[in-house]
Amino acid sequence: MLILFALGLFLFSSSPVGAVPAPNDTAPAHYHAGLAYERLGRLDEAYTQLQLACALEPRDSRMALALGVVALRLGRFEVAQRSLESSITNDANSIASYYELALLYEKQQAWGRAVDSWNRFLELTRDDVLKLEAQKHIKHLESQPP
Amino acid sequence: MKNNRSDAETGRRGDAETRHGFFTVSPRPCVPVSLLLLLIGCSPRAVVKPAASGGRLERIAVQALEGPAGAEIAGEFRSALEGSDLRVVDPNQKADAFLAGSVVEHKAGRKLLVFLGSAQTVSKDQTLTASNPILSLSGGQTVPLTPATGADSPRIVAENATVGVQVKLVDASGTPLWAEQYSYEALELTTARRAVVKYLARSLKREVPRLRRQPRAAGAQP
Repeated sequence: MLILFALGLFLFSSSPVGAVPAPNDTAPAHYHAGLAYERLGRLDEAYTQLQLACALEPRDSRMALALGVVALRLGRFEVAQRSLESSITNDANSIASYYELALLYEKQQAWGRAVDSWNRFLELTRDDVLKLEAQKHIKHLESQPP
Repeated sequence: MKNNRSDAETGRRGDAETRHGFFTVSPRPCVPVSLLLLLIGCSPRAVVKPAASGGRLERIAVQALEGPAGAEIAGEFRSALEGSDLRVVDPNQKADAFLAGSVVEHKAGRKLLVFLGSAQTVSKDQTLTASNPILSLSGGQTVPLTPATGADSPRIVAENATVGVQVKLVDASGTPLWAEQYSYEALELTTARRAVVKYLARSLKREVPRLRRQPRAAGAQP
């Protein structure tokens, strides 16, 4: 009886209270849980779920992009860079990845890489506002020291 | 009377319009002198000692900018202008010209929508597929996007920072000499601010030789 009580107590204490039910341990499940947390504004949980998704499915460009975007919002720039670069390695036409990477390279003052990313973004995007934005960045970066 | 007053209030800006185009009212020479003196007397610049410098432009005072982080950005302007042939002085010291302006945008969370996956657009009877497109929420997308898979495409929000600043340089009499505006997007406010200040300071430095060549008497229109 005492053993059963102790087992029950252990199980109760180890279950997370108030959390979204644990997803199946598959990449898509973690990915969708991550996006759900992001929509709720719970970025730390979203980050964890998207990291799990990317660990299980390292060749998925969308998952890597989602992790990169959340990592940027959390200020985790190294993870963001790795994820966004992985995203374009797996999909060379991933438009948003170039946009966010260009901004990240600018922050790191890696001007050449930033210009390359903006140029690639310009080739791919169809958003006129963002095209103008990219052109402005390129013009600004061309005046930077090498 | 109303029109005259409007001219007096905006006349200082008018010259900037011809060069930069973001002010809309042109100066008129027929401003009543008494009203002009009253306005000059009431303006914040009145606390600054004007330099009877003619066309000289050596000492420049950077005033705090209006709007969010205005004092901080003014400080960055002072740093950016140091090392040039302009001498940056305190706003309450004697100066040949004053840099003033406002922070028109200072946002940490400019939102952009990222579609995760492929989306299709139709343009000139051609269907194009875009991979992980990103959209500005101000309606820059000319062609609507539909998910390539037919299912609801998952989305995520990217947030970046934007800073926009307007500045003008006026001489001791309040005559505008130069005006410019610039905005920039970056991952963080500090990066965006640095880019804006750098651009505007460089633009001003480029303009200084021309302003020095321009003959003008203190208090007169250039």
